Amino acid sequence: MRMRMSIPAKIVLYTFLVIVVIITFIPLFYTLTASFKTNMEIAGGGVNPFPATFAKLFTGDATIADLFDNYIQVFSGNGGWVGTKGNFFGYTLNSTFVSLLTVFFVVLFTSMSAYVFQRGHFPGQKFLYWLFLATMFIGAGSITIFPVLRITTKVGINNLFGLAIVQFGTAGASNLFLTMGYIKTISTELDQAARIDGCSFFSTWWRIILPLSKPILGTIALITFRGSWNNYLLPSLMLAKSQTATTLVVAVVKLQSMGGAGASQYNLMMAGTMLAVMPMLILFIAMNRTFVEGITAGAVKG
Amino acid sequence: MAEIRLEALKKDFDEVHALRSLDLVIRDHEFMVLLGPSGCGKTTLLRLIAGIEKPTDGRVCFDGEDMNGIEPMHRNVAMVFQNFGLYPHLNVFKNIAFPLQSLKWKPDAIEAKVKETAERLDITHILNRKPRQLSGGQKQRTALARAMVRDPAVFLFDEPLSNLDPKMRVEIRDLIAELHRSLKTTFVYVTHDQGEAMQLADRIVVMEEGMIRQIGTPAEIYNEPNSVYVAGFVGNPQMNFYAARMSDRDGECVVKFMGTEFTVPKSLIPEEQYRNESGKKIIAAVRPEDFRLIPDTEEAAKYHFEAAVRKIVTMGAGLYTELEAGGVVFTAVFQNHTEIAEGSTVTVHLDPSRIHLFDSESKLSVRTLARPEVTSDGTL
Amino acid sequence: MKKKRKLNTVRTIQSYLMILGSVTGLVVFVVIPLVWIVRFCLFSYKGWGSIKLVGFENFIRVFERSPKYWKAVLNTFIFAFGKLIVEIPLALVLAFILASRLKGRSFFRAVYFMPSMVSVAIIGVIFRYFFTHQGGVINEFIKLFGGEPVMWFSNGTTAMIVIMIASIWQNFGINMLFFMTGLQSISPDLYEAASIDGASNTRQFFTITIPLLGPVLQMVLMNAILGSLKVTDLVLTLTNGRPAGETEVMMTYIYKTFFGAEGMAAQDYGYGSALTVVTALILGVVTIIYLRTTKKSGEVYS
Repeated sequence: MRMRMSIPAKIVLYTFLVIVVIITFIPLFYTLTASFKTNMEIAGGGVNPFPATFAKLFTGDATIADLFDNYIQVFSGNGGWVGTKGNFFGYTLNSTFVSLLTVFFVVLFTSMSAYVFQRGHFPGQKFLYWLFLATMFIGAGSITIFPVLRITTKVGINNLFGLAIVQFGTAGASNLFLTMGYIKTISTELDQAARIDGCSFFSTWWRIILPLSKPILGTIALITFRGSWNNYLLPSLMLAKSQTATTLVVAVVKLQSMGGAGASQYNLMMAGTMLAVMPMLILFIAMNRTFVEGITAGAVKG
Repeated sequence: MAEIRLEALKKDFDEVHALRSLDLVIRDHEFMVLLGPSGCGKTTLLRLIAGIEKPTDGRVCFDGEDMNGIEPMHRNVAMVFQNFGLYPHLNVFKNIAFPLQSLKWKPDAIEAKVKETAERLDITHILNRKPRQLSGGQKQRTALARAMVRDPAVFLFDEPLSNLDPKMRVEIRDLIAELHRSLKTTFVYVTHDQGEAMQLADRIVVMEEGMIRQIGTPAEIYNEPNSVYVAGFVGNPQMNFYAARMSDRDGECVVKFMGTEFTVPKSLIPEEQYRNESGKKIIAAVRPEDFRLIPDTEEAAKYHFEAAVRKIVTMGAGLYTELEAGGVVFTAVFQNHTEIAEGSTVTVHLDPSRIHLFDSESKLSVRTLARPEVTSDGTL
Repeated sequence: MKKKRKLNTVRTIQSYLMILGSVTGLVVFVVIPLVWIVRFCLFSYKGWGSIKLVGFENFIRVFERSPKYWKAVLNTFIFAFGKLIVEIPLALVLAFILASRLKGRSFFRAVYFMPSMVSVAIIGVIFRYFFTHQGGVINEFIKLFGGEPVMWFSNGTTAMIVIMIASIWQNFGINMLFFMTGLQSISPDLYEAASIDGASNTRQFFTITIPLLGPVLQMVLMNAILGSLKVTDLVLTLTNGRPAGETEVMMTYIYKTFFGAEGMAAQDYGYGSALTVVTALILGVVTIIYLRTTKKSGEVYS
């Protein structure tokens, strides 16, 4: 839609937009700069975002290592409970592992199931389809978290691997329907040709449908990765008992509530926060389009 | 190389009767065309032969063996689709190689065979391209290559020319005809274009609403259609149909339409049909090409009538002329360069042996009524 | 020629195997937990000891002896209302502005979308730091302009405001995006025709944009409402219900009922399940009421 606007109107509009941009940036910006400050500096207050060390860099009173001190501390912690300095390198690995594994499960099973529902013909199909549909409306995630925990505890999968499984299981049917809609656009002529060329029901999926579904699966992979990386509630509960196997986000939150004798270790917390946030931001900048398409595709379906 | 036999074949999709109990024999090496309008069941029939659809009842047999439950791959059939059916994510080479990979051929053998087939179809220079980079003709050649590469016993075609532009259509059509000659395999070809059918077929099966109406060579279908339906379907421009009256006059059959009386030769209609009749309603039909301005036979000279020329369209193949006689409007095709003008009146000749007669109620040819066909079933 | 009798059976078996993963995930982690809740709401069970059938006693307790829960329910609605009043119009206005052919719209769109890339729990951490009484960035700015620093978290009202701000910050980008997609689906021909007919920009906005946006608006708003009512992670990390339950919401209360928290032991699971059921019913009722009252705007094309 177009708008013909006068110049003053445009100026007002842009000013507004820029203000919103600034408001959006401020929290992240201050967190970033705070992650380079010492705890005293943070607690000391002041509006100046820039760490003193930054200026000292230029006067030669400090080194780069000094600037990144928080990060170094947080990375090289001796492992164990977040409360000392924690081992954020390990936590990052954990988050990466869990997220990748979740993506693997989601993409694999969703593409298979979407294909079966879209192209298959078997007794009970309608019932299962409605089951997925129904749970999409009812399943609220945090509503059933307790029974889910009971199950995982009983089965004994309260670890990183189990976390991925549960995250896959509770991912919801929206991925399924999204993929089904995509497969619908693939002509059934291809299925027929594949069948004549010797493909079974399964190998038609493996050799034809799956490769052709890459676009939608890519989108789903990104969104799932983000969801897993940023997930807090489930991992905090499932991994509560483990000392080393925590995800990044959970570790950062723990930093907040631990804090030792009185004052929180704000500087470490900020560093940890940036570590938890940066990967997602970088991913976003790199895959901006895909994310946007993915979010809107799922939503405006009708 | 296979003889295909369909016995009492029926196919329903929920409530819809796509095919109603039909029988058909397709001979080994034959080029058989299934002809009919959309929805007549021809594609369903093709798919049953292929094995990608299961019959509700009846059997499909190849060389006497019942194919029930046997996958297409193991029936040794190949199919060429209307929209080409090429795998978009694979290049031409991999598309053609696909069925061989299913058969677990060794890579060297695959490469050799694919190259050989590509050469045959003149597409070696595009082996690296993806389908979206190909023209319509190239796509169809690729599809043909993929079908040929397995040396199947039966080739199936599902309206392969519909998505090509006219020039390409002729090219690929000729290619298919040539392939049939050189491969000597059974071809089963589905189309709604009667021109294609006439050009390519050894025999044609004309279908309507899930039933076979007539089976015959192109000449038989054209010259001896067994029903109004078949007569009207084949031939371009379409056959003229007239509401006529038939009478017995001294043992001769006289048919009157367009205000003119024609004495029809006995070979055209069995005696019982017209004996003692007087003014019985009947359908007469004449092909536009059978009218003459200058008589070419003795009989044609005898029978003529006056007609007003309403419209002339130059169609390249001839002059498509709309005429009116006895209150009836009809179409005739005359040779190019014939001197004829709109609005004038001309003398039109017609040899009565070129008249087709159909029963008013059953719409069947008067000859069929007397002599039902042997290999087809499902006449109304 | 190899014969394979009953080929359909092979295809059917393959179908079942291929959906096994998704179906198992759904049943184990969604269906069974739901059944668990529905079952246990009629029982009494503390995690150890016996399981007693107590019928509707749990529900009676919910409705008669749970003041804290209903306070949480009230808080939840206050939160949802307060935040949406700001967030939705903001998202709408931004969407409208960015839907026109303004220069740099991709940049703005990307920036506004960034907050949603950050984990909700971490947003809680960041904003807690921001609004800290001593040395928090916001208070420092207030001091800079000569005001008195506010104790944001010691007062129920101000604490709630902080949560609202954090939630708005997180979500406005996504909703803006949804609206933009909806706006794009309005045919530009309509605006052209209106322009030719002499309608001003404002008039066009009210006679074309708003009505045709109806269905999208309805869906997005419902999504936003339900999402706001289900807020969990944000509250847990920002205030955890402090001060004294003033910022407790439905979901966090249920969480504490099941898992316990500082100052509150884990309750009977039956009671917790009953709470869950009641909460789910509340959400259901809200949905129904909402759909009824907005029926008209959803039927634009009928």
